[in-house]
Amino acid sequence: MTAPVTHTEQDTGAPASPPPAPRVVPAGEAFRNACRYEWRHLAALRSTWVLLGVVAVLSLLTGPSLLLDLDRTRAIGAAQMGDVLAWSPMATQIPLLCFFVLILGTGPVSTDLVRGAARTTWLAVNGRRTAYAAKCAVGFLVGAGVAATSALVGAVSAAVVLAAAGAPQPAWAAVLLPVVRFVLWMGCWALLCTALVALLRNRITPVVLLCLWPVLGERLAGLLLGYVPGLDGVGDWLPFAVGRAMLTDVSAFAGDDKAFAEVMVGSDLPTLAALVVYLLYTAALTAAGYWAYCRREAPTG
Amino acid sequence: MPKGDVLVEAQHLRRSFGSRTVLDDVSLTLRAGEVTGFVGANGAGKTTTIRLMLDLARGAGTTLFLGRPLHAWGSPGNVVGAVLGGIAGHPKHRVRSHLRMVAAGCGASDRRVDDMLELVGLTQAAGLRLSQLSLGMAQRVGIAQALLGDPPVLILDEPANGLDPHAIRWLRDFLRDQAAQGRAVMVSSHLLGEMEQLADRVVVLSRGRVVAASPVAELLSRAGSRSVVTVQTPDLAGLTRLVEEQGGRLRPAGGPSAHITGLDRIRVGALAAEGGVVLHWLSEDMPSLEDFYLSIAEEEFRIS
Repeated sequence: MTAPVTHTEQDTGAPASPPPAPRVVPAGEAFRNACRYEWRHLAALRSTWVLLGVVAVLSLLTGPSLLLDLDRTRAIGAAQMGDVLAWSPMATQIPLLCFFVLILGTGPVSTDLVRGAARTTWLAVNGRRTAYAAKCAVGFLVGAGVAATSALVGAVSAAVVLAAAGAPQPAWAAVLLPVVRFVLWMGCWALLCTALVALLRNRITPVVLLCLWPVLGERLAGLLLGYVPGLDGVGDWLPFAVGRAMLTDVSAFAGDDKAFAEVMVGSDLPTLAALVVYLLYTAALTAAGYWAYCRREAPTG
Repeated sequence: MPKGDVLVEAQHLRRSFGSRTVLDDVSLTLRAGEVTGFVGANGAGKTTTIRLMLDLARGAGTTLFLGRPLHAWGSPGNVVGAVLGGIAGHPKHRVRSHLRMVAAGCGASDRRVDDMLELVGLTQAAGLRLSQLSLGMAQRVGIAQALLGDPPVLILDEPANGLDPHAIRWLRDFLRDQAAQGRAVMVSSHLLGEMEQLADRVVVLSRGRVVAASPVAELLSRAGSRSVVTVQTPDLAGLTRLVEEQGGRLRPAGGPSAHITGLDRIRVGALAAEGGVVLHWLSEDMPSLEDFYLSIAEEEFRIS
């Protein structure tokens, strides 16, 4: 028979004061705490800072890349400059997409649902709803912030290179609008990634999907839909065609450049309409991700 | 919070997978200043119960923490600290970063993180990645994490798993200390023996149902009623008659030995003396809480 219960108070180093009675934390404060939680999740990973560093360094190459095809007699148009900041430095796009898809987009949700940290998250912040809202808010803000910073660094680099080459500066104030659309696009990318991981509860599939669908899958789908009677215009409305139309104002191009831009964009929607449709796509997918995330159970183990 | 106040009240917890019910109408309460042992065999439903209580899994029933559903408090970490199998986080996060992240989530300061690391004796390990922690260290980090929000309720699922005897002793003292400070502590285990030294109350779960819930002392007393008296006598037939007249049961154990149940050794000795039966040996084995629990579980198994 085991000895009877004797509860001696040994010194375990525990603080002697009793725990305070908890207080009800208002929803706003709980959300702010959850956002701090999500930010610290990102900030504590070395990969976040490594990729941000790569993004920053490559953003500096925006200026030198202009020298490859620079007409020193004419100022670059605002739409073209916006396009350069958003698209041309392809080297910048790769780490940007790595950052958005891997770190910012899929990381926070996959850590919860795939790596099993959901129980930590849901018990630290106020449950699934607050956690998902915070992931979206932090993802969007950080994503938009990184895109804005990248665009700013790229713009400064371009301005310096143009000045050094003796070429006229573009109308920088007019570049602001395309850059704002670029920043919105990148913020939405983070939301799309988050939602997709929540829906699929898998990290690899969304990454593959998000890398291949915009480039190949959607163009193929648009092409095939064109053969279906009555659906020949649907290709214009597919998510990433709409996203490209939102980013690139095709009407600002002329001649061969315009034809090339039209082919690259793959949608005839005007910029503003494309922006609205893209935001609606993002909102719908984010809502679906919210629904899926809130239905999940915390993985065991 | 005064000792004995009900801090957690779980009612009618139920969970099924298709037609299979894994948890059936489980209700329990946790009180301030008490350690409640939650005991059951592997697969009895302990972890499922805890997950339902913490809203980490879906099922029926309600659990109120200090009179409210957990998420009505807005910051669960300030109400309940849970240790569910060590630590769950990003394997690349370092211990201190992970705890600071959790502290931010429940509104605790970074200073609190260092205090809790010191409390569990892991200040030196603060720079390790979560993937580098041993099972024992992970349990301690889990405890530090659970205490970050200074919650009045602590729930630990099999916290002794993977701990060496020294660490188990530390954990036992630590949890008693937490209860002494006024916290309601719930500890699940598949080893009832652990609870004899730790818990004030025990809830026994078998096949998804609560089969016993009472103070440890009471459970030990009930277990005592199942004691087995061993005797040696040259007159087994005479002793059998005397024992059966008093409602006991004698089972021969080979030669002059026998085991008697239903009567304690004092009663058996008195009966033998009154009936003129010579005894060469008389002893009584009190079943441990462990044996008692196993017998309950066995009965449950037979009934179902």
